[in-house]
Amino acid sequence: MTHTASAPLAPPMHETDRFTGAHMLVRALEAQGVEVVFGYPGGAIMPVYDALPGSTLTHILTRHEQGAAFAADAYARVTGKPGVCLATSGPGGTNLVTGLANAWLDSVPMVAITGQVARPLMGTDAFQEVDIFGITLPIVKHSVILDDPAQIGEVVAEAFAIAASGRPGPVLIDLPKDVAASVTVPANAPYGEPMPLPRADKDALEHAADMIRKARRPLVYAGGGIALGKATTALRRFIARTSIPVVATLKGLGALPTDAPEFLGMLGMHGSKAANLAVQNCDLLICCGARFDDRATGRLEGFAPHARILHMDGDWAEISKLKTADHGLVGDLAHMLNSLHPGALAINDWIDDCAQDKKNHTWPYDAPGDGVYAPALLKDLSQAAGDDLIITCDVGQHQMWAAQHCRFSRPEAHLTSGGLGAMGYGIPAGIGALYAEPDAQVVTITGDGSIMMNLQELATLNRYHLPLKIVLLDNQALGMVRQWQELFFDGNYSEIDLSDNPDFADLARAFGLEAFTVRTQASVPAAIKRLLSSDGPTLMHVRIDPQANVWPLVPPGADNHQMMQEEVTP
Amino acid sequence: MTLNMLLMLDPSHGALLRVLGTIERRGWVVRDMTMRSTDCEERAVRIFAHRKALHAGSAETLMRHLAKLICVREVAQETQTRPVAAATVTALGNRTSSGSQSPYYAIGAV
Ligand SMILES: Cc1ncc(C[n+]2csc(CCOP(=O)(O)OP(=O)(O)O)c2C)c(N)n1
Ligand SMILES: [Mg+2]
Repeated sequence: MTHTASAPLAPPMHETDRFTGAHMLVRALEAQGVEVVFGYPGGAIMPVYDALPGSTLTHILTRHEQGAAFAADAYARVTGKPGVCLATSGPGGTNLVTGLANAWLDSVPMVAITGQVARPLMGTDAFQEVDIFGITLPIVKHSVILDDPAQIGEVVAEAFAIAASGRPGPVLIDLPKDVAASVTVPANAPYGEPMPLPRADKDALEHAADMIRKARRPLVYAGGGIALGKATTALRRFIARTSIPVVATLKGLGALPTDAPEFLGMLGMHGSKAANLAVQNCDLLICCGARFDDRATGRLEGFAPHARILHMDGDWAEISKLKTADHGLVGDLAHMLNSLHPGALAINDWIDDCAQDKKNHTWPYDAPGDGVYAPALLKDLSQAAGDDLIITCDVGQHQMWAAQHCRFSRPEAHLTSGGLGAMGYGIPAGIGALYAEPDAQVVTITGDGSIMMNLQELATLNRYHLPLKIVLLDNQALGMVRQWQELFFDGNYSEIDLSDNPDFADLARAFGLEAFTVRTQASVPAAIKRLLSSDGPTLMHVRIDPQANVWPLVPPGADNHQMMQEEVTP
Repeated sequence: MTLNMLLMLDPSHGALLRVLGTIERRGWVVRDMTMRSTDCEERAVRIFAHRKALHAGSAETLMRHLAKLICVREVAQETQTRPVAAATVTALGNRTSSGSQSPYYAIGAV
């Protein structure tokens, strides 16, 4: 990610009266090219809020700091630029924690700025003092206590560069109130330039090409690193050159368009049968920006048991971390993929086998009965929305159905809390996506459990007239937990019943949204049309079968080919 | 399995906590540790760690994770008694120089 240096900045509004550390902070954000910040004010961050009016920054007031962090995260995923969130000390900071963990586990560039009590009060258990620096140490790429007003410009510049360099991640700046309020001399803010990743050397690339040439059953296993490394085009060209079949992780979806012939689907716990069979049968696994996460691999020892491993990643700590690589390439993924020219490959039989498996195991969409069948609805919705669609997801069965049945034209079209699996991500992520790409058709897929985790952000949609389309798949349960209790805890259902849910359509209307309820499969086409053509924020509340499960499922501790399938009763 | 390391740290806030936290979270137990400041403000930390039973992470993976910390300038594995580097891991994508000028940006660029 690079910005060109911006033009000299207009003086902030208060410059003639007083120029504070907070003004310097705002100026430093402007110098980084920041346009939007998501936040929530409070005591210790008040000097910063005092400096915001008159700046070029647009501040979006979410209704909870977690919403601000998730919105900043989604903004970053779509734009590739660090997302920025602001919160006050104490509870403001602690409310950001889940959002920081989400960005950490999904490698999202983010800069979070928290107010802190004034320096003389730090360490005294002052009002709203918590050690947010200490609390967040394991879930940030880096963090700083900005205790020197003279350092503000440099610290901000470095925070942005660190967040976006190499494997991206969140950076926390903890800003004591007296530093923000201190009167200081106006200065130009420096610009933090992310460091490019090194390029893999020629010999290493040639060795990789040779492995590919020798393979008879090569398979690409694409992960979130494709989007992070801006390697989508490079991957597509590599596949166009070689025709090697591709499987993707949850975060790698969209790296190859869902309907590309080489694409076999998502692998892993809720992956497609064709994808999981290909992994088990391949003789060379070309891991591109993925990390052998347990949701993708199942029992690690049984994962790709016949394959040599070629691991390409931007982060060398991932190479051989979980699965020993026969050959590892570290650095700029796009450069690697562009440089790999293995020549003509003798893999036609393998390509045919994979295509046959894909054909044999297509998803069935002809569910019996009048009720709404969620997979069919999601497939039709994403097809109707076209290539401008960005889907943001919450967590649960609906998230897995979205991953399985929606079509994604690019990785940025699928925003999901992959590593953390945080319920509550969907709606604030939709807000962030709409600021990142105001012309996109942004749809949030949520569940009746998840929506309640950040329901307050419906007020944010209304306040800023954001045309987010929300599809609420209501199974009156914490469905994913219910499914596991059914399958792995002998049907001992414990605390998963949500049959006392509020009337979600009424609730959405109370927040100022358009809302309607869908109960039958027959009414789905008209409902999709209504949803996608509505002007403002809209909630489509869909009643689905409370007993429906996500299939197939690789049970915990099993190999990926040992998938459980739905038992069809004649 | 044991691991004897020498780390060069920035004198930044929380550097030691980050290092110790990373070692413990990644499945190792710190058995012994000494620290001294060097002339150029760095802190040299010698750590002797033991891998917890059942934990899969290798010494090399741990050193790579440590090298990724922004506050870590260098990690070297040492033999048991003498401070001879057997393998040196310099932070990749982290630092290109150890001077006071940040490697990330040029001051006054705007
Ligand atoms: C913040 C948080 N708490 C708990 C969980 C554990 N969890 C995973 S899925 C799930 C159920 C989600 O219910 P709902 O949103 O209704 O989705 P459904 O599975 O019914 O589609 C729960 C509780 C989680 N992932 N995140
Ligand atoms: Mg539910």
